[in-house]
Amino acid sequence: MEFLKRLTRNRTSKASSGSIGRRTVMAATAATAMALAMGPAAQADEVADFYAGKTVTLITGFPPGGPAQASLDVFIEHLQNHIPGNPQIVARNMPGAGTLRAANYVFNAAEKDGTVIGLFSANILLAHLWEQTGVEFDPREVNWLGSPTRRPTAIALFRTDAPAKTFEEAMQVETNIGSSGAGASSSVYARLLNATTGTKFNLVLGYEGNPRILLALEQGEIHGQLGYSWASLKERQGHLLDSGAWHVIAQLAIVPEPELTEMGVPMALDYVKDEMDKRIMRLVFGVEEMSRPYALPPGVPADRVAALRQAVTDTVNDPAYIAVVQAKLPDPVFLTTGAEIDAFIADAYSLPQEVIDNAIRIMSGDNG
Amino acid sequence: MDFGTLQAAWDAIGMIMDPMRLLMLSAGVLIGLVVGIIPGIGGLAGTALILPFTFTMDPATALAFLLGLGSVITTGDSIPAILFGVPGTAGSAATVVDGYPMTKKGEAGRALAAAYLSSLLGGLFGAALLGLFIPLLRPFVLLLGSPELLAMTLFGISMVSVLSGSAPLRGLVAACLGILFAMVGSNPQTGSLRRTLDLLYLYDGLPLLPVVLGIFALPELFDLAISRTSIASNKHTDTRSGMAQGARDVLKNWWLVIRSGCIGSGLGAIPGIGSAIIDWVAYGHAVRTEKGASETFGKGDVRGVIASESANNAREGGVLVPTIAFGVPGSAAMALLLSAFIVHGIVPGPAMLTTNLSLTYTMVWSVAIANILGAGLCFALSGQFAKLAMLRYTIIFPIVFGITFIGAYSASRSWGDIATLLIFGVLGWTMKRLKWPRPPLILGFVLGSLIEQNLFVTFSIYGFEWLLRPIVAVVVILSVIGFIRPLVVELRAEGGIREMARQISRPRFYPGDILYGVLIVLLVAMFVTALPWQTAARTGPLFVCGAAILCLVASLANLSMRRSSTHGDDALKSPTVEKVRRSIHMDLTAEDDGMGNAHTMHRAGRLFAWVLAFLACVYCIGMIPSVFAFVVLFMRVENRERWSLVLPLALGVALFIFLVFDQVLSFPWPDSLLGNLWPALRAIPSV
Repeated sequence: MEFLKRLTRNRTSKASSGSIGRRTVMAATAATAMALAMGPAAQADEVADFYAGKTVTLITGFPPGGPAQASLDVFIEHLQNHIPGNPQIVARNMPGAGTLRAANYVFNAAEKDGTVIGLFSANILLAHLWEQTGVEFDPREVNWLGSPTRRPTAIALFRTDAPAKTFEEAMQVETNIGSSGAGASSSVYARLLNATTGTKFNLVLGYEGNPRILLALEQGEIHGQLGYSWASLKERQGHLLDSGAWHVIAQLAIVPEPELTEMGVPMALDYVKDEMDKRIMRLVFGVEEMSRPYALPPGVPADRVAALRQAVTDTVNDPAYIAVVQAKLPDPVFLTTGAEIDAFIADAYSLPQEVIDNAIRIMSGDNG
Repeated sequence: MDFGTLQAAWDAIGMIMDPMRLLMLSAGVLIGLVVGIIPGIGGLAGTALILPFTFTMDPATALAFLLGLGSVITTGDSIPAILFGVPGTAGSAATVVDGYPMTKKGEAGRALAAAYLSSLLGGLFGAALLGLFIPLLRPFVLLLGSPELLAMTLFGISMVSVLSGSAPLRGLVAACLGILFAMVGSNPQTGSLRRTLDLLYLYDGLPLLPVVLGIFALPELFDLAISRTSIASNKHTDTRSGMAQGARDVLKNWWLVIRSGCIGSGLGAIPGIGSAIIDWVAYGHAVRTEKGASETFGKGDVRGVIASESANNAREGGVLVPTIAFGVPGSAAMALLLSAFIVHGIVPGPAMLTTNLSLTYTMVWSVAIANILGAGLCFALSGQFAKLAMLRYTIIFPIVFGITFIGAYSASRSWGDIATLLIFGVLGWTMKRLKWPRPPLILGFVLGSLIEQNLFVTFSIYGFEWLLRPIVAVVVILSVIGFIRPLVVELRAEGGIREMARQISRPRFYPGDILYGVLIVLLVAMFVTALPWQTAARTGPLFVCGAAILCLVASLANLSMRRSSTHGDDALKSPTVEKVRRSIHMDLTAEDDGMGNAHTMHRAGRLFAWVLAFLACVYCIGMIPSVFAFVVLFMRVENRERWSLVLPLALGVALFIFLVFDQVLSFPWPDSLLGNLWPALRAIPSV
């Protein structure tokens, strides 16, 4: 699984921006190879002719404002300079159903000439595989352009006075886990971990948003939360960590975070014994880490897809872009290329149907 | 308050008095007023709009800009509420109930002045409360767990009985309907989809804005077009003396301002309870406590305007509490303020009350100054505003209608919004005509999902022990009293149960009762279809459905079996028991100026044809050209207005919509037939 391997390599080299050099070379080589495979070099001109003077509409599935919007604004400002013909890009918000509404629109109803790009939550990558209702596209047919950022390491965060002091103890005693809803990633994590490692997480559903869950954790209403990011925890609730009121009992990620490993925080994945279970967990953790991918609808001419994939890669490697993101945004700069997303999706779809069915059953909470 | 805190508050004054910051604050105020005045943009979209510009400012300036906008939206939104009966945002719906009748009586100037001054005082009160209690913010918020939130939402819903006026059973039904509408969409407990009709639009539930505009704005607009007059019948009113009167009214009712201010900032501090509820709770409180309120509220009593407006502006101080102290957004717009925090490296939490204390105080001052600027500006322009109410309906209706439509469309930017607006518009108009109170529906709609969520959290952690928590116990007891008392008073007014039982006779039905039939069939169908759902997903809907059906049957029985003593008036107009009544119908009533029923229905039918034609037009040629065409045709056909008036007006409106919604807010317009047939024509905006 190329995406996961590269993720490992990059993460162990610690700072995401520090490794850009090598990543640039790799990504550029891949993209060049692809462009060569597509046809003659004259194509670049055709693409430039097409985009010159045009306006590209970027449909974002996220609501106006908010962190996704801030990243998007910075990204398109630089993306314009890297698309051949330098078209103007205008963003339009089409929020709803966790970006699924925008995805259905962009992949079915929007123009398929390359003038409409979409930005979605990575959760829609596998929504079709997991048989979510309302999905009107097959992610294998979509032209994924890449994701310019990555979600930082997710953790299992607990109160120190909770009945379970460690991940292993959480397999012995019941603990209350706060979550916003049955479909939220914390709920999915809890059910999967219960099914694959034998933890006894008891879901308390109905909190409005993550800040509200963390407040309930501070109030002592619940014992723990699954899926909060280590980076945000340090930045926002560092005082609770320092005072010893809260602690991290497991890392919910594919790749260990050195700082946490040093503190002796185990990987939840290490407690998963079954090989198929492990693959499922990797898919679920992996999707979250891709954060927010850009995509073109199925059926866009191949030369334009290649040009836009290249433009996304170039933007993420653009020093001016990196400087602005590092100064203004909380997101780390981290490129997952369109080809890597394709590989990730292909890998997910290669799982045996019964394994997938089983995962769906667990995640939806049936007897889970 | 110790010396360090005072020092920080003082430092903050120095910071906010920086000319650049004051300038940005004023800019925020200006934008905020415009956002408030135009129905449909609202605080969320307004904040989202200016957010990117704040990234390059320093933190105090950025927050001043954002809070300047946020603080005065509820000042601006009272203007269309009072003048046209169209709430500028969901937060001024209660202002309509007394403000709009005042305009009709020719007291627009008085109502506007009262609204601004109470907004100003409420806003200052909220800011002062926040400033004084800053050291206590974190302990205060830590006290409010899910059980407390549940108790507060129950308190909110207990207002249903007082807001139902003389029709308590109908009010309960309306509240139940509101709750059921709130339960549309993906259910958090099970993830199952409830009543989404397989429409992706409904997955996140019905958006608030089209519902509020449908329930409160469209009926007023429809009735304006049906009555075919200008809004203010009394043409000779001295606006200036009216304004002085309005200001005096507020000062005379200073105690009401303070109580409403407490309600506003207190409820504002509770995440999820937004401005759409706060105005009603304050209004309900005023009805319950003000002398003689039950006789005059709803007919243009200035105290109704004062209660609603002072509460709503005090809210901004309240919503900052959980936002600053814990990073839990007190409202949707506050979530955006938090993203500004992130960009500026400000971390909400304890640091805001220690190392960043002076920054926190600049926020308090920003809210205070913004309220002064906002109210002052509105005051200066009021005289001009008030004249709008004297314009002919053929000028007001098409313009306000077009903008309301696009405002509703801003909620999720899809056809679904338009359908929602129209469906709730027809429902609201029917309710208004048949004297069903509308406020309970909105209370139920906004609080319904909050109650369901907090109920599940609370019960899965505490079981029934939640009722033993001290704050919960007090609030729940208050809610129960508040809920029951108006019902008992109403019962007594009818002469008690025995007297009511004596009046029972053979049931008689009128055509207006058909709404009962429709609702009973609908609710029974909803009950049956909910039965197969998972337990957690169906408990709420089944309970509410059941309660609604019981209330409906009781109400219908009461109505039909006690009719013998009343004269059978024209069926559509007064199917209620119009007995000797000191109590009032707590909502606007439809006046027909003696217009017959057939006549009314004829005009309503004609109006509905206009609306359908407008929709068809949007489908064919796109939104902005449709508004242009609608204004031109309506003015020409309905009243043969002269071209020299029609064309500039229509062009002006189209240009305004183009600039605001297309250029500034970059709306994705729905596809039009014309644009699909000849893509070249897409060069015209929204085609």
